[in-house]
Amino acid sequence: MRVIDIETGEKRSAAAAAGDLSEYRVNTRFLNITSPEIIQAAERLRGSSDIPSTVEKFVFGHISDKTLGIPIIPAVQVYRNRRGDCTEHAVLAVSLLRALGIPSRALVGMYLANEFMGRKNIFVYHMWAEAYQGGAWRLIDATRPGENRHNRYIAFAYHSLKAEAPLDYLRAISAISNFSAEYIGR
Amino acid sequence: MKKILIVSLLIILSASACRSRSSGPPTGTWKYRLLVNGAPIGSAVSTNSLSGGKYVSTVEMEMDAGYVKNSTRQVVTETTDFKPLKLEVYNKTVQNGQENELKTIAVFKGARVDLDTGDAKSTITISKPFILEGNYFMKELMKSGFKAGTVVRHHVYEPTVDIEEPVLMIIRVIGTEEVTINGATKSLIHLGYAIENMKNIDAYVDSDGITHKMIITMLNNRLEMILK
Repeated sequence: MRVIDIETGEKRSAAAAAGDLSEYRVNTRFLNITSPEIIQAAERLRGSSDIPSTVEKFVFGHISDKTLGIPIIPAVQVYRNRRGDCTEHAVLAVSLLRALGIPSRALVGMYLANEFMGRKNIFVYHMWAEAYQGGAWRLIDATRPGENRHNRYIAFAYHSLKAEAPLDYLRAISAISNFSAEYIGR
Repeated sequence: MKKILIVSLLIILSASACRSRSSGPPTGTWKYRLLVNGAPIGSAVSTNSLSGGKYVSTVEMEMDAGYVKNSTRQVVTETTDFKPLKLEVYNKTVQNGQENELKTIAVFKGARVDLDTGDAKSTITISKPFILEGNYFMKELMKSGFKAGTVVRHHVYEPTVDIEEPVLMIIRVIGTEEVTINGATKSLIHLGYAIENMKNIDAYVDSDGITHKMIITMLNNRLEMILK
């Protein structure tokens, strides 16, 4: 067993390695950014002074039925169904952001929840998004708009949303077994 | 995590169905129980048939998590020398009466792949030799007599992992082990499956090539498939 201590805190200067952002703008079979419904929904958000925050709040409100267990489905189906868990929130958020021309990506990992299914201070598997803005990647979690406590997130891998289980994602989760995480407080 | 376990199981179950040690790939039907972390979650049926000079391998899985039901069906059609002809993957989720469906249909003409993903159609060309998850692997393993240390590898077109490039699948014969299944202890051949060198799947087959048990472990989840 290997024990890794993770110290978290405020993020320092956002020295994001921009590199080539083109892969974070592309359409995929799960993002449907050229779908008329996604385009129409995105256009209603374009006038905002803080588009990523507006997308985050919109997705949270639009997915009114917060439910677990749906396999990854295309953004246009998420938009129509208005139902889902963190996966659906992340997929729709990335879809809308890319439809608005903002580079964005999905991440999978764990989140330290105050409470989940009756248990307090528990790490849960999670998917969320990031948007590239102002030279930095910014946390976008449409399941909890406004969440800015980065230290509650442990990322395992990026998910390209090009397939259900892309190789990079498979590599990351295959390398981890018998994983446990404990929050030891401040 | 159940989402990725379903994908992994679908990949492996297709490649390991066999019935008898004969000169050609065997045909038949096999039924399995599915468990996640020890709890029953559903069932799977695998079939392999020879019809009109083509092999048709089908895997159907039903998983019921209580609040959501998921059905997946995969059909592989290939020539008797394992050249890909057609791959169909259908996935349906039902929750509170609402259905979501996802399909991927790939028709192969040599290196050319015509894709239909429901919302879009496209054509891609694959540059490296590839197969589908049909009969190739078990055929090769049976040719080797399941000798410990045997390694069979090939690029496999698997759109749930990569819709544009085939992925490398590797199967190793680890050896013979005593395995308890359904209360009975059997001497079975242990196979280790890996996708792109990520080994996290163990299968136990008999000398006829029939899979009796399969275990997939990812993060802290364990999916088991047990022959009924």
